[in-house]
Amino acid sequence: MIPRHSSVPRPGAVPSPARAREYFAVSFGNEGFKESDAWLRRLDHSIQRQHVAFRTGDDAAAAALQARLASAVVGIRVVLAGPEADVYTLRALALRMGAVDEEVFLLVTPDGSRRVHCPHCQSTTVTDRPVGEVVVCTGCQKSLVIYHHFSRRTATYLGYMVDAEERAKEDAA
Amino acid sequence: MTATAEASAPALHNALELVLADVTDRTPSIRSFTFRDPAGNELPPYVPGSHIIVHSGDKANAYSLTGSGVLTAEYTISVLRVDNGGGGSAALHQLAPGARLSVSRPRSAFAPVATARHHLLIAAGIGITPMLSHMRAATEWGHSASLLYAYRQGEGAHLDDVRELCGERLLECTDRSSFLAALGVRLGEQPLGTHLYVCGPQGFMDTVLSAAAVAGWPPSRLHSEPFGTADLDPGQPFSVTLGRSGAVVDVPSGTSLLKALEDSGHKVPFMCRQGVCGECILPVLRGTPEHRDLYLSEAEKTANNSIMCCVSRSRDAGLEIDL
Ligand code: FES
Repeated sequence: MIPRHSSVPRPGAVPSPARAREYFAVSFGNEGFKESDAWLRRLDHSIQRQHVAFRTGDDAAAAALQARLASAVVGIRVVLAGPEADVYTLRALALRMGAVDEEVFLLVTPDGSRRVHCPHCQSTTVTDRPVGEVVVCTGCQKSLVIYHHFSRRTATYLGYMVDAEERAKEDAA
Repeated sequence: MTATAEASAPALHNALELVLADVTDRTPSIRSFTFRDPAGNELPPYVPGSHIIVHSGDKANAYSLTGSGVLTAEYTISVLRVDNGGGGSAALHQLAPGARLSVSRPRSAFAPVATARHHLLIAAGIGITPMLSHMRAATEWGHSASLLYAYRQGEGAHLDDVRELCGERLLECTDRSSFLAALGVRLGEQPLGTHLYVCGPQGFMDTVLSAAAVAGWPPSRLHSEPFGTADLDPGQPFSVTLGRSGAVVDVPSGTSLLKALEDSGHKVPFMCRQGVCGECILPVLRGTPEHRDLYLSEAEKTANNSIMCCVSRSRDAGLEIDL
């Protein structure tokens, strides 16, 4: 069960388009493409739009967004569609590039993937396990419980070592 | 110890007692006042865009500080004389250097956004004063900023200051159509991460803010500082329940809640009677205030826990306050 006041993103109502001078959409995968395309069709015809589609989230997608935002002027809106991990990674990038929350629209498609941040070695592990389950950190091989704390800045869930307390007791003994 | 003059406004809480060190005419109707500590001490520093409340005679008014806020040996404000206003500006215009005044500590309600990539400052007339503060701070810190300044020919306050300070970063407009054209261009060419700040008469700010919204600027990038005592409309009549006694006080149209409370024998602290100083705050127990003050933050206004009774009214019939 996810607590009511956790930071975990939840698929909610699809955001409505806002007044803007142009839209720049980045989508991931088939589902992301369809979501994004359908959403852009709801915009007024007069509004400029551009949609770049990627199969998965990778450096090319980040580079495309970065290149567009580097020369963007206020009035642009960014639409990010696809799996949670990809969408939030690019959202974090958009905010670092100067966008504010109101300028970024997220259309999360359910694929179950999530990124887990390891507080011990700082690496990120991608998994399809749900929140509450255990994943092995690809960086340090520690077993991490996927905790229901989601960082919107880094687009990761916090992992904590499953047997940390046991270990602490052993160390103390 | 200074004698307390008979005045209708009570003394400022935690105020600074300062001496008027310098008076400079900027335009025929705008005059700058510089205050210092009588003992020559440094004054509290402030965030760019802050204002102080100056108590003169029986009036208290808010004025923007024009400095960058660091190394504050003095506070300088510029005051437009409004002959048919509340009288505060005219009273100030009568003061000569050496006068002692009670001045509030600076209050920040119009601060630059720390994460902004660029600051677009837009001012009309005496609305230049907080922008001068922003521009000075941006220059000192090496932050990116530009200024669009609209003023009537011959009435541009601080023109020399802003020209020297801004150089290329300044665009001056002396008529409405050239201003609107420049505004349209500017709104469409600001790098992502820019924040916009506007200060001027209400109508001017409305024009700028709605043009920005049309150009796709989200609200969180827009910051405005109204000034002066733009006459508030008289408002709808309403009545208020006093939580402690259960008494009901009627507030007719054209009468403030503060005045209605005073008339019914309740003492409420106040000072500016313009919704800027924060003295007259009252806790709200029930109902939805119609917030018309400049004191509460947006979040505080949405929370509806308090009301500035000198200017604000009620949106519904059920207002109850803790008094
Ligand atoms: S008296 Fe100053 S805010 Fe009401």
